[in-house]
Amino acid sequence: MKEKSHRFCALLAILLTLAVGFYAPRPSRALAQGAYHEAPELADLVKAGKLPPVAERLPENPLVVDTVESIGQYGGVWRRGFLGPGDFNNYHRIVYDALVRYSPDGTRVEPKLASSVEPSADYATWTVKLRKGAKWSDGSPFTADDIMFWYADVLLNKDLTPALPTWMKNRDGSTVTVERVDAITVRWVYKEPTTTFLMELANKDSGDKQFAVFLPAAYLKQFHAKYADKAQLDQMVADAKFKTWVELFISRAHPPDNPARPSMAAWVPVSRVTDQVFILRRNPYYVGVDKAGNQLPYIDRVQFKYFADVQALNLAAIAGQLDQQERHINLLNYPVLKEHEKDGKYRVILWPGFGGADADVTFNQTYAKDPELGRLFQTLDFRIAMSYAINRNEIKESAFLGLGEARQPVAAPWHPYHPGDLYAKKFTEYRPDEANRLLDRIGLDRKDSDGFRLFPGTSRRVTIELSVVPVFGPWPDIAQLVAKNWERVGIRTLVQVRERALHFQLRQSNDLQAEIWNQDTAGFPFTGVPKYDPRSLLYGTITTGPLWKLWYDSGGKDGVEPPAEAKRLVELIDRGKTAKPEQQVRIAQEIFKLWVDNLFEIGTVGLTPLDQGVAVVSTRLHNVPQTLAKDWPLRTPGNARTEQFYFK
Amino acid sequence: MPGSVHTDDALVPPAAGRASAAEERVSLAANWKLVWWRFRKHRLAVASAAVLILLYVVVLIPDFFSTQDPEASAASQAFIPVQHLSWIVSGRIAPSVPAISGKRNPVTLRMEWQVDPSRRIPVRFFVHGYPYRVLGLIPTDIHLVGTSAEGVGVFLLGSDRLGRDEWSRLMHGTRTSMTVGLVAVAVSIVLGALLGGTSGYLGGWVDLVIQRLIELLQSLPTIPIWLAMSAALPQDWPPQKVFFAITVILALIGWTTLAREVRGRFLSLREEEFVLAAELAGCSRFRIITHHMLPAVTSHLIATSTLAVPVLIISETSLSYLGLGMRPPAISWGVLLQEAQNIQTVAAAPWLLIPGVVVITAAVAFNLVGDGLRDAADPYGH
Amino acid sequence: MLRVVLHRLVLLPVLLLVFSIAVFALVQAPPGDFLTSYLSMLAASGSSVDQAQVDALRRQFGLDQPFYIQYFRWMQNLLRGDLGLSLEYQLPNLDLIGDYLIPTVLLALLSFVFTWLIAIPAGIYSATHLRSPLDYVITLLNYVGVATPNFMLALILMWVAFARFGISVTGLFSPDYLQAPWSLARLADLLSHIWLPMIILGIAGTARLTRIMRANLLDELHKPYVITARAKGLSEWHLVLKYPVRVAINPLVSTIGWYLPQLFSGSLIVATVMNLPNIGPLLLHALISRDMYLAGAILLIYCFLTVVGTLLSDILLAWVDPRIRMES
Repeated sequence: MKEKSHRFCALLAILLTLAVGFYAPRPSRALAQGAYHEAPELADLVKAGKLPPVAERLPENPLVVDTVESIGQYGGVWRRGFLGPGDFNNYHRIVYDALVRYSPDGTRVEPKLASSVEPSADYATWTVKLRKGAKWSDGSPFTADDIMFWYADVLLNKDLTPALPTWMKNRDGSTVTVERVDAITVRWVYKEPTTTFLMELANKDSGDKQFAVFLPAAYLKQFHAKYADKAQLDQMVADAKFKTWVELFISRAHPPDNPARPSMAAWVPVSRVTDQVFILRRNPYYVGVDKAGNQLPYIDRVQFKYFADVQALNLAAIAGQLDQQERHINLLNYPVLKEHEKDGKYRVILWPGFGGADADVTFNQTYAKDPELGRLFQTLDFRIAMSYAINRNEIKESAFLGLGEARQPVAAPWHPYHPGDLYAKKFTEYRPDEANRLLDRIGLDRKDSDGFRLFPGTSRRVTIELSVVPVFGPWPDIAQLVAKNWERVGIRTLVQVRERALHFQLRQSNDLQAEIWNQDTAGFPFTGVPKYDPRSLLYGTITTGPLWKLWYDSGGKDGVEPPAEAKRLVELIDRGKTAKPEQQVRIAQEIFKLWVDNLFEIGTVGLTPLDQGVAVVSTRLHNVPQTLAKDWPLRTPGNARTEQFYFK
Repeated sequence: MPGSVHTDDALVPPAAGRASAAEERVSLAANWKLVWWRFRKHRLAVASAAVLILLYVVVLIPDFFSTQDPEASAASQAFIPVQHLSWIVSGRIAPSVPAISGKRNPVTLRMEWQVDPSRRIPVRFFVHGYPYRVLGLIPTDIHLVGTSAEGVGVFLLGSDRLGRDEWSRLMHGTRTSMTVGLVAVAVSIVLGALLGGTSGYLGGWVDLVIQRLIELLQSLPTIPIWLAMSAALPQDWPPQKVFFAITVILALIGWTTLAREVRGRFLSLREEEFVLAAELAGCSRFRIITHHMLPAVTSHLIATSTLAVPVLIISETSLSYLGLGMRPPAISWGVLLQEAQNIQTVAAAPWLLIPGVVVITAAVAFNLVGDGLRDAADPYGH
Repeated sequence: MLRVVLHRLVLLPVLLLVFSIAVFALVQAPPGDFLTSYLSMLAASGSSVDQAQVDALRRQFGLDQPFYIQYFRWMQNLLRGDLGLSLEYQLPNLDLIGDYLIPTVLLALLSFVFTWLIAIPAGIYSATHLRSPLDYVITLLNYVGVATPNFMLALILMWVAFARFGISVTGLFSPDYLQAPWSLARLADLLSHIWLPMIILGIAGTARLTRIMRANLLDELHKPYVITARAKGLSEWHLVLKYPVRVAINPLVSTIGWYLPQLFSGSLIVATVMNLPNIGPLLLHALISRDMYLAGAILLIYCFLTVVGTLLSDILLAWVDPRIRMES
């Protein structure tokens, strides 16, 4: 079944252009005025005169959402679990409140709040058209002014945005211009062709507590220093115990922290993410309808229950108390979940990763504290040997319940960027003799009495420190397994379990030797913070060579000049950002081939449902797709078009 | 005396000049001998002491008692349940465990183990196994229990999620946890006895300062401070350093109660005549404290400390459970329990919770011994 | 005695000052700060936060100042009654702690009542029926109860309750009643959830208290005045309850003061495992995510309550036991 859907996805991808695919809007004539239907609770409010009729609430050309199984029915409460105020992305994934969003198979971007996003012929100008008559959740109009407010008063405001994000910068460092064309049309004007615009836009939804590109201007102006009365603003800041208006603005602009903030999402918050129960209610002005003219969402409310301990959350899932939950569900609980399917009245679906690898090993090629070790890390044959020394089947069975496959961290087989099996599986066979041979060949042929290899010409053992953070349960276990594999070929390895913050700090300061992390940007090597780009902020990426980033950041004055292959990576990535879609595919494949050939990162096992890939779905919940591309940029389960889930 | 009514021997005064051998032994016996004789009467306490001694033997040579390398992991051996050891096979004494084969259930993905009735794996004593060093010095490879069969292992308490032998890990965990408790208590005793004794004997401003310090430390809420201190420990310290730091943290909080008690005792002992005599004889203050007064409170000290050990063991277990004490790859009871404190274990591999039983047993044993010692050492006991 | 009390009250602010430094140092000691913790959490989900934004956030949170300045700011606020802002919740700490206070106190009080209701009669029975079968059972349970790490019990019991009996006992309320106003139904819902945590939290305390009660009472029962009372013809129960029990209970009563800090913090580990909205898990979470103002505030309150609790204990003991008064 997996194979079928992969072929289907590939077919889809071939037919549709990748980053520039846009969804031609169907003529709204098909749904004549007055042919819309709404939820009973809203109908009651309309009758009582508290709400305008549905035809007036919807835009002239509403978003028509395809349903997975069938047209649904109204009602129900969607129960989910969350881990506290730090878990706000749980909310963002559910509502995926953006102008455009990724499709369920992750291969194209389709309109959501925007009715169309069209590029100019040279891809340097992008025109975003909103929906005429669309309204915020408080009934006020949603217009181009809301995007201009973001541009002029948030992005260009030095207090709110101290430094421009990369996607809003031209190659020469100047700011991209955003201009208002009319009440529902806004234009982005780049200096160069930018083919990744649509992908970037699909992630500008307030995820990570960043500012979305559309903000409720009328509401937020009261918190903005430029518009608000100073005394009033200061009073509000003091009341909330903040220190500056910036903090206040950020807090008031983030929906999970502020139920009063108007929103365009299918559900709007009624309580806060800091509460014990974080509740969302239906948005009566949501722009989506199904094919039969029913205004979405079907589900009345979403209820996030707070769990202090992730075990308790998993226990609640097993007990059938959560209607659809994939977040924080531990992969290793899959057997218990499966065994209680009948009692808990749910089914368990597996959504494998969107390419890459779920655990990989990276050597810091600019490690400076021990020059000999650093040189070793820079030797390709050493990395190849270390790759051959890893028994990936063991890892698959121990840590992933036998799911997934041994692979290098490149795009998934069904993704257009896939560089071919030859590369995806290169160096992944378990060949300890080959590893030994390579290690002997590069000069590590002398061993001490315990069998550990020594640096050439010395009696110093080659010792590697493998740093791992228990982000996912299996990782420390995998580190132990890898360490054992390496010791079997004579390389002494010490596993260092570290806490996240410390590990990230050591990344920054170039003090990590080798680390275990994952590769989850295989679907998006040109946008966001790709881990393939040595220039990416080290907090979010891996430790291939921190001093290379420093070299780039300092314009060549500091740091270490990257080797030719790393420079080529940067070149390719930059070219990809401006290349046409077909070319983009070829460039991506080249990036992956380069990545594997040089083993910048050694993959172990991938395509497992490790990270939020085990989904518990209540038997009463319908329209949840069986297969779904899963990744953060896709805001899974957001890309499943959650507004068309329904209870029966 | 003939014709007399039964009387309690103790009420009959010995005939002058003719003390029986037994009574003479009693009146001449050193204090510790008296304590020991009284302790011996509590059979439960003695049994517990035996358990503790057994545990400490394990602490000395855990490898001898292990059947496999506690670090050896094998995915193909994950989640093996406790193996049933049968002693008699066809009428002869031939201890063995059944051979098992594991398969992953295709639907639930659980590792399921079936007994292979055709084979049995013989279990022998004093077998050759993986090499180790006794006390880090003497290399050997003899283990108490094991199998002579090639390529298979005995899983007396089953295996964990990585296929590691739980029994062997338990042996090694015993070493760490029992040692932490002991070392922490030892540090507490030294600190408490010295500081408390000095405070009680010298009095004056020394007493005042030490008393305030004790009050300060006792006013700190223990668990949150432990947590905070443990959270403050750098996460990348090697296990030995963490171990040392944890014992210090535990001991730093525990010495104050001891100090107060010793001080109380010293305050009353100070007035005793033997102290006066020592002072008149010219003994230095330090000598009086250590040579004369401390021995008088020793038995009480030991009793109290023994009661403190289980508290420290459970504290270490709790801290490790929270991820703030010992961490993998170090092995302690706390670490073993921490690895078992999740749903997949509680639901499907409950044998991995057995270290909890061992914790309880050790703690109960310490408490019983401590109670016994306290009763035995108390001169006014009944 | 009044002198002692005054003496202690005068020392209180000094103690708290020392504590505040210790607490602040402890909370700051782990490497990194709230920001590194926050960013690393974001990064785990592929965040695209810029370096300049990182610096701006650091300035915004006031994390770029040296230690002593941060400490002084904190002390300044504390003295004004401002417990600061939780970096993670972005809410005032006073409100946060206030919200969690009632469930914490309620649970602690219930466990306390449970403990005493069971321990005192059990201790009395055990002492008066020495070496009877029930005494052995009680003694055994005591030893095991004291020796059991209660977090272990928590998860096991939760699973057993779910797997065997189909009861799901996470949290203190069913979702429907979580935010609902108080009513009889809500109270019933609360009681139906609170019994398991109450028992688990009470077990160790019950065991300990029973042992002490038994030991104290045994000491008393052998005293000459008991023999005298018996000789005088008082009924066994009357005499036991009227004199020895009251004397035996005295030292226990003095331990009531120690419950004050307990009331506030509850049991960290059990509350976390059982997902109870208590201050304990709040503290644990704050320590782990380096939410230093929240962690510092809770720790300081706890220190304060401990000192007050100790003082209360001593006053209670002196008040209840006339012998002590003369010794001070």
